Amino acid sequence: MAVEFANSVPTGGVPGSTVVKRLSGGALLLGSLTIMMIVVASAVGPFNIPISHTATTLLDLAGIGESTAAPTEQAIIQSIRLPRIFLAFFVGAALGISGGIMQGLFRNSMADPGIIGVSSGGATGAVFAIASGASTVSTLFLPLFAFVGSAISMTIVFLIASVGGRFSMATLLLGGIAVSSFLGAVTTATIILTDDLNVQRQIIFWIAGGVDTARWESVRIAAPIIGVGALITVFVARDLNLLLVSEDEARSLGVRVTLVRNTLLISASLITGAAVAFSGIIAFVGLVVPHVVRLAVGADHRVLLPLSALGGGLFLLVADTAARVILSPAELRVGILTAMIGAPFFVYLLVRNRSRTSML
Amino acid sequence: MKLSWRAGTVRRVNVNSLLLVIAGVVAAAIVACGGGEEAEVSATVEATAVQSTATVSPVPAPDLIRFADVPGIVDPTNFGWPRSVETPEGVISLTAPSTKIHSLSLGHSEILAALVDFDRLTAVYSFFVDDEQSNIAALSADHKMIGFDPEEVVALEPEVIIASRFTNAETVGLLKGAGIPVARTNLESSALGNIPNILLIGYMVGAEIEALELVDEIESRMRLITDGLAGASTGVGTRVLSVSKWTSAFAAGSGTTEGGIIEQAGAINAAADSGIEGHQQVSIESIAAINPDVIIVPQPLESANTFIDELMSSPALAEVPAVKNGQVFYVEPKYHTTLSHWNVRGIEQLAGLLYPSAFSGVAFEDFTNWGD
Repeated sequence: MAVEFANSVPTGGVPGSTVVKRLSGGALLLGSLTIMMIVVASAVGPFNIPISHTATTLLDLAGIGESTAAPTEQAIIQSIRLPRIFLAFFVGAALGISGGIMQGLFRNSMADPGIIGVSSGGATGAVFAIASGASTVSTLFLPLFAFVGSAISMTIVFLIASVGGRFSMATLLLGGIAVSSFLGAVTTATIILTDDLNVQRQIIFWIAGGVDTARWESVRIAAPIIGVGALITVFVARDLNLLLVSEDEARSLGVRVTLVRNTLLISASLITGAAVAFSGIIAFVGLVVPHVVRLAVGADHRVLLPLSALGGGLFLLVADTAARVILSPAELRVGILTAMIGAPFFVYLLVRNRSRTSML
Repeated sequence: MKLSWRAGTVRRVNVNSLLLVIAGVVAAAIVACGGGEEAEVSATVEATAVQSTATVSPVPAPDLIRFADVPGIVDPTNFGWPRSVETPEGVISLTAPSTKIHSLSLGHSEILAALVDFDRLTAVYSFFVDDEQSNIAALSADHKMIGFDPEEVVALEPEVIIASRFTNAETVGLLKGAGIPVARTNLESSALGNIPNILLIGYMVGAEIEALELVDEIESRMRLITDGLAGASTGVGTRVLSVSKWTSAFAAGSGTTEGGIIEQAGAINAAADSGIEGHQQVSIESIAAINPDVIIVPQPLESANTFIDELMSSPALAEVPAVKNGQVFYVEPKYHTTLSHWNVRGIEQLAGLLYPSAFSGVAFEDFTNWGD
């Protein structure tokens, strides 16, 4: 599949008007759906709030009119639902765009954001924060440790891939798998060996992934990291297209191959690290969303990456909203729903587009 | 006035002499009455007991008739050795009171600690020594501790293993494959509903008298609660939510230990009332929707306090009665989260919390363990 994937990558020479058309059309569609979904997600939840109260509260926040909602209703919308909605969107966007980058860089549609050990590093950092008790000192320590874990993991994998002075993508992939396995073992060992049942529970629930603990503070920290990282990757998307044809050809066209590749890898890793830090490990989004977007708009990364971000954000927002209401007042872990919604849909698309899939 | 649950319970002291007297009275009564179904059972019990006195079995007491209805006892008239019990793991035959019992669950170990010398338990697990989660932390602290490898259990050469419904089937299969008898008993979230299990465990390990004592104590304590609730003028029907936070918050719905405790304390389990089954993840918004009168937090004190602070300071919960009226309480997790007779302490603690006037004169005490 990897070879077929590489063969289908556009060279960057696709007419700009086509790119703009596809990108603007996709962005308009996904952006509109996202805005609609934000309104819907603000209006639904275990606590029954009349739609008119939700609407006036949202308008009030936008500086239009005054909210007619009761203080409790306003508090629920403003301090519980909205931070969760935005965090879900940013985390989903991060996973979507990172997945698109990784699938492109590795020329493999099975690659996901965690392929070079970033997610495992984040999990190990979080486990360390929980097991050491640091997570009880400040609510920000857990995401901080997770992010640092992701960054350390990424650095180790990069060093492995650069041994001998030559950077190798194959070694990066294999090093990522090795580091992931090692860190996974560390996490499992911590769960098994700890005497403290509470620590075990916290680790397991964190790893299961979710945005239910979202606060505005989380959004304020995660959003800039994810946003800046996403912008950087979008700017080098054309070079990624060229890079995937062949490094030599990209070089001959003036692409600074090492710089572009490292920029993409580091950006994708940091974006994933930020997402994992605040949500734990949410599987499937980073794997499926870029794949589905590619089926819809093709493999040009100038279109694929921004739309993967929007698609990932929308997908996780839908999944999290469903997770909040399906068993209301109880909740499902969103990771369960991303797999339950995404997997059948993914299979459906694969079967329906079998001829096109073989080209990807 | 200070009431006590101890009124009316059988004391362990002088048990042997008491039993001798009882055995004589039973024999005389059987002869005098000439039988009947119940007497026949007693007669057989006595005959078996007399026979087994020569070996190591305990002397029967009249209350042994209570064992007749205990599911799992293959022959409720047999109080000698060998004896057989049937559990979901099949029928096992026990040739003598086990001196090497291995329990795979904390709840069963807590019950066993009340029935037999703790030295008869082969080993404990690491979480048994956590005094916030375990009611046998002190006993376990000086005991042999093992990990979760079934090989470690086999190496202990236990004569019988007691598993719970939560015990991994593969682990049980491995232990059975090693030739060790395994009994699996399902502990209940109802204090009185658990009595047959306690009697079965007592029967298995040859601690019938101690099991009856424990059952008496449970019934006595529960009567005190029921009487107190009957006299409570206000507050009955309070909606109580049991919720803990482990990264995410989890509420205890129907079928949970915590839910059983809430209901037995005369309150309504607010989570179950809202349709939650088992332990389910909830959000702060969910708690607002459940709208409980009282919130209890059965988790270790430090994390409980952090969570309680979060609940009390959340603007979304400001109008929830539990938060508005300051009715958010830490409760000891060891009474609320492990299925055993110690749940009765949770019921007492919660009843005292919910209806202080009804239990103002009552001094609730902890259960004692064997030999205390």
